[in-house]
Amino acid sequence: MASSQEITNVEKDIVALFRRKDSQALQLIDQYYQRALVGVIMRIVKTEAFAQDVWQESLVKIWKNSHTYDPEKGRLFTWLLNICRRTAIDKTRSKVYKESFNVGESMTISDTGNPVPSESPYIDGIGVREMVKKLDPKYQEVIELAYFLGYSHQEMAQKLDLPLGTVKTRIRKAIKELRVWMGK
Amino acid sequence: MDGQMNVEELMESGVLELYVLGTLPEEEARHIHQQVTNDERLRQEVEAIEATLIQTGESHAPAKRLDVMDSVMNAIATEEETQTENQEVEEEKETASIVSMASEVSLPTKSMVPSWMLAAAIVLIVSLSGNIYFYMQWQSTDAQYTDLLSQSETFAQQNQTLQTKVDEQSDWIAHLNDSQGENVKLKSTVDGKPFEAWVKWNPQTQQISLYQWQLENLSEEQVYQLWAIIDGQPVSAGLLTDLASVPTLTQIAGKPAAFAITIEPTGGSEAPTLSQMVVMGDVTV
Repeated sequence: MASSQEITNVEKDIVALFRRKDSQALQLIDQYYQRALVGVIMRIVKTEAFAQDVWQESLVKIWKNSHTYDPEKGRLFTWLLNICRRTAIDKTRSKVYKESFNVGESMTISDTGNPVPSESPYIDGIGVREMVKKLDPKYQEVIELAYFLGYSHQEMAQKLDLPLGTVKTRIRKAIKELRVWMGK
Repeated sequence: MDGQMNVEELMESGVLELYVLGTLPEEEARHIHQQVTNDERLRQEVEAIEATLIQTGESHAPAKRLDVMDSVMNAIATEEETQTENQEVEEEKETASIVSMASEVSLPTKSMVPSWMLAAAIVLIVSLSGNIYFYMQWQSTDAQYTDLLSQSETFAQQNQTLQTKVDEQSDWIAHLNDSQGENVKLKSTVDGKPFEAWVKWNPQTQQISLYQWQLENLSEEQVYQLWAIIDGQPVSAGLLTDLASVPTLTQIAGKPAAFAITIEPTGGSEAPTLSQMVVMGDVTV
């Protein structure tokens, strides 16, 4: 896990490489962001095989759209996250995914109604995932929707039948609890 | 509106988290980004949120890193190669189009040639285009002229044919109107058939022709053939191919003793088919 300062410096390097059309940018993205982004992808597509496909497709898309990234509009991580999330969600809607993925055999339904792996060998040693599990279910729910499924706060408010302000507060509190546990 | 919030309020609002999560509308995200860029505390807060989310994401990653870079670089290289090829094809198409318009006169790019040369090339292209146009027009006119010439020749041939017929008819009429000569009536030789025909023979001009007849229509494979019996021998004196047509005017030396008409195959016969005789008449003079 790179530090915040390291990530900020890497982000600048990647943007500079984007501008020079230097594919070394992808090497840095793979090096510094792969685990986080593939983690999100895994949460959506459920299997490593599909996650590998999606990560590969995402990197190609990132490269093809690198000229559209504007550092004045938002963080690089956020831009990368949106591309990966959309690619992963598209994959779950594909015919090959639906045909090859048997939800009934390997998946259970999470508190939020989304399928999650019943047995995953990929829980990291630090136990961050355990931390998420220890969150109040109402906070787990908003993390699941906002981070892993890309719901806007308006969509979450509609889905959870909550006021917009309450959704924002829950997001804030959920991430704040994780920050405390992670010492950030 | 977030723009009205102070830093404390913004940090507690949850909007910074939504900003990092990438779920804010574009305009709002841009606004927050400006505030974050301009305020160190907001920037640090955003970096902390981002680091938390990155670590949370990592917690769901496979234990082993995915090795996809070779495949990604190959995919990109292939795609860029295809794009380059497509570009080249497009450029070739454009070039081919220009060459075609210029009638295979290649036009150097503007940056490589002086303007007078470019102007000269344009004049040449315009000139060539004009030449091509006038050549096409000439070709078209020439083809029309050839058609007209051919039609004219056909008309001339038809005219010649008609003129010949007119001449023949004129000769035939003159022959009939000539006060000289004998009119010979040929009577039916077929029982029950009231056939008859008239022959005009002019001993001075030695011309012979039919001029009136009452005969049956024949099939397409048959014709009526007039015979002059001279010194006991039948001599062909012309054909009547169509009852409505003008018969041929024939010139025969010698004094006919009689005339007869037989039915013969189309084109006539060397000798009469006596069984097919339909009329006969003696020359009384």
